[in-house]
Amino acid sequence: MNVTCLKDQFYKIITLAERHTSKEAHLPFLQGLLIHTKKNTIHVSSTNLDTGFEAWMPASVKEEGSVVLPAKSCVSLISTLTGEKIKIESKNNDVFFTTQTTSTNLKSYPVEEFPSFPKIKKIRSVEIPCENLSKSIASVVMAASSSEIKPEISSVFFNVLKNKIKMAATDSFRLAEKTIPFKGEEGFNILFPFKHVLEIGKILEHFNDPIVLSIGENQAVFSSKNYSLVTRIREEKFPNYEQIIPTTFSTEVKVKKSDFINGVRLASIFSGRLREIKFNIYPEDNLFEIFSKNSDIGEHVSQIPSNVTGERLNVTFNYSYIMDGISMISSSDVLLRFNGDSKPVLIQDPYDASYVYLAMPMKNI
Amino acid sequence: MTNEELWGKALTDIESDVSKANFITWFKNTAICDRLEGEITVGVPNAFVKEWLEHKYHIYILKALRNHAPETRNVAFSIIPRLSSDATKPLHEPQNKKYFAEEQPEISELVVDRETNLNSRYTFDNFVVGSFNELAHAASKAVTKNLGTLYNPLFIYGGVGLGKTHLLQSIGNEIKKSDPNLKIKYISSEKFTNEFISALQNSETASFKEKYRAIDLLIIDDIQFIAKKIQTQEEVFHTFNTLYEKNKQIVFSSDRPPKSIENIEERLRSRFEGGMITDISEPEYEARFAILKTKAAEKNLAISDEILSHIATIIQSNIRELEGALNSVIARSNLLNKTLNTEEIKNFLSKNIKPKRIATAQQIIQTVASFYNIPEKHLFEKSRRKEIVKPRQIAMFLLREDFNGSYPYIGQKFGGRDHTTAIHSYDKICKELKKSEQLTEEIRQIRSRFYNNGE
Repeated sequence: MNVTCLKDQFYKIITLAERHTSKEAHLPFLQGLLIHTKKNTIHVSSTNLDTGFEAWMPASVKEEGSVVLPAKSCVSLISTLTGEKIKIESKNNDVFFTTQTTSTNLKSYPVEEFPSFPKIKKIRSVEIPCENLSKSIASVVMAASSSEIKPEISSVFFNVLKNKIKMAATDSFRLAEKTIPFKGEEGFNILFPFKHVLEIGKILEHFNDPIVLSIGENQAVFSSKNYSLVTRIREEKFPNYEQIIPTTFSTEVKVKKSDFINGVRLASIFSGRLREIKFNIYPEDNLFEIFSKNSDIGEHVSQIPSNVTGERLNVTFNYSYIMDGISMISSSDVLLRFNGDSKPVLIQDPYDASYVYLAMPMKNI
Repeated sequence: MTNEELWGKALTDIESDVSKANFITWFKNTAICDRLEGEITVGVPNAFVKEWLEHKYHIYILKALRNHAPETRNVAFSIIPRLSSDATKPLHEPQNKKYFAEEQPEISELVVDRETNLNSRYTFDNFVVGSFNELAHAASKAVTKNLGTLYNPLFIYGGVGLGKTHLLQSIGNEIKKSDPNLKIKYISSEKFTNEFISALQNSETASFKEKYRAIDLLIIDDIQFIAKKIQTQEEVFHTFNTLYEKNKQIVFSSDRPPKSIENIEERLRSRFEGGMITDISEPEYEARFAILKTKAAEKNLAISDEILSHIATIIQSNIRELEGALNSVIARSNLLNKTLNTEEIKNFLSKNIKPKRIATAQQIIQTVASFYNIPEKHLFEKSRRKEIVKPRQIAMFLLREDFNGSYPYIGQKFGGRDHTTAIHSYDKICKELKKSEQLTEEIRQIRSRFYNNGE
């Protein structure tokens, strides 16, 4: 193999690929990157047997070939190299990286041990628009449960309808749902491990192109013109969540997002090990108060200028659940909609109904 | 040779043929999941492994299997997600989550009333009655009409996933509907214990006692878990007495009758037995089918009777599994966006559902011997000592009933006895079973032992 390519672009690809190598030391074949050149492109692939990633970029190929390199050393090496271009050359088991000023030699792994990717019998495929997709994904994934004990909620749910896609995730304490516009022919739904969806979000930060999602029996492939990612599909059933989202509310508060975030931050300093902070809401005085108290540190109260309607309410929340929700709202105002002290609060953008975030209160203590 | 044994032997062969790293990468979490007339299906955790084994190791695997099972003609591979390592890894609930479980309720608890702990989903209306549970159902209904006077306490027992909790919750919900002012409390014995312990730690026992003794209907689920917990038992005992004296209704459930709950105090046991004891057994086919129909209707699903009937045939013991299978079939057909035909469902379910309960003759005999605490070889001897005769007859009965062994085979197995001996043993136990509750329970426990070991 003998190929020359742009260093920065190559670095971008291999850092993404490294994310899909295995972290387990006893599986050496899963810690390599397969670098493969063909015509005028260089391909990099990696797999941990859960996901499989492949990306490609233009390069000037003098001699075609493939090598497998240890991902970690390869990434560390390229990250510190300077210069615009990099030449990669293989001789027997050695791979030489040459820039204008440096020359490096890495030992390669046997190519024939590198896992081949499964072929997917495509059942259907849809094209997902990429506009703000990375952000939309991030706003949902954070609500998923990180523990695999209940795989059905350690997941992101995609409900593909004819005119929209609804993405949802929950860890049973909070729930996030984002609706994105879409034009499709038939509806279906599918559940992915949340980690895989997180990876798609990561990739989108670098390659913001429309994604084609192809679905097979146990596997799905997200692909665009620069890459493809093979993921697993969950067989479990996502909880029937839509009925949980309330439509009527007994107390509503509209606040400026920056004021609210500041108030929650202040209060969080004084909350206890349960991260509890209390909202005291007095409609008659148009008053919204955030209160917290810690017997060792002290106590704090802030009054947030706001617009309050409905009934009086005192309710306690885990501040990190509240923070997670507000930080995903992009407008300058936030709408908080309550139903008493034991039902979840709905956090929303007052001008954009496409994102819904629900968080359960704590027992009043 | 069982599938596990065969695969274990084949793996030992393969291990010596390939490098260690290769072996760990590709053969971890694999198993034989089907073996039929020389066709072996190996279950693998994901598509990558399937691809690799099919293309690189097919020959090795076939050779290794043939070494130990010469009739093997072909090997196929099939993806079984539950084999993947994150599904099999022993998982621990994050510590901090447990820490604030008490203070941070989940969204799913929305349907649960915090005062009473009742889940409004469980009512008598959506409870399917069949011959396996009609007595328990009738008794529960009767209790709601004659609270505290007719059957007190009501004690319902039965295996896992048969609807005990549903019935218990229905009683609570029914009472709540008819008189919202009555104080109702549904609690699992484990939660009761935890609450009691934390009351002890915070020296709030007085308020704990007060709270439980002012209740009109107390429902304690899975009472068997208070075994060995002496202080909790004492608390249950006193709470029971106070409520009972005031004619307040108490309902218990357990996975076994009071007699078989080990390590509980005699005075408590006798109180459990003082009212009405009723059991829920395993549903028969018709009931299973009816349950699936109800569940499908609840979820607004159009699903053909043929498919429901198929699920009802495959899953025989447990209503929870029945519902799980229904859910996964639905999820599957949603994913593929088509109605699955029977063949597809058969294939799909056989991959996803625990194989039907199977036990080998050897397992049965071993379990019986260990259950009655006698050396296995005594079962095969000519001895007519009473403590040997009974286990021997039970073993013969189980071999007939659960293993489908022929009478001559069974006779042969037990030291070359005549087939009439086997017939006699089988009939005798059958007759005894009708009379003796003790024996029924013993056999139930033996079965649960060997089936659970086999899994």
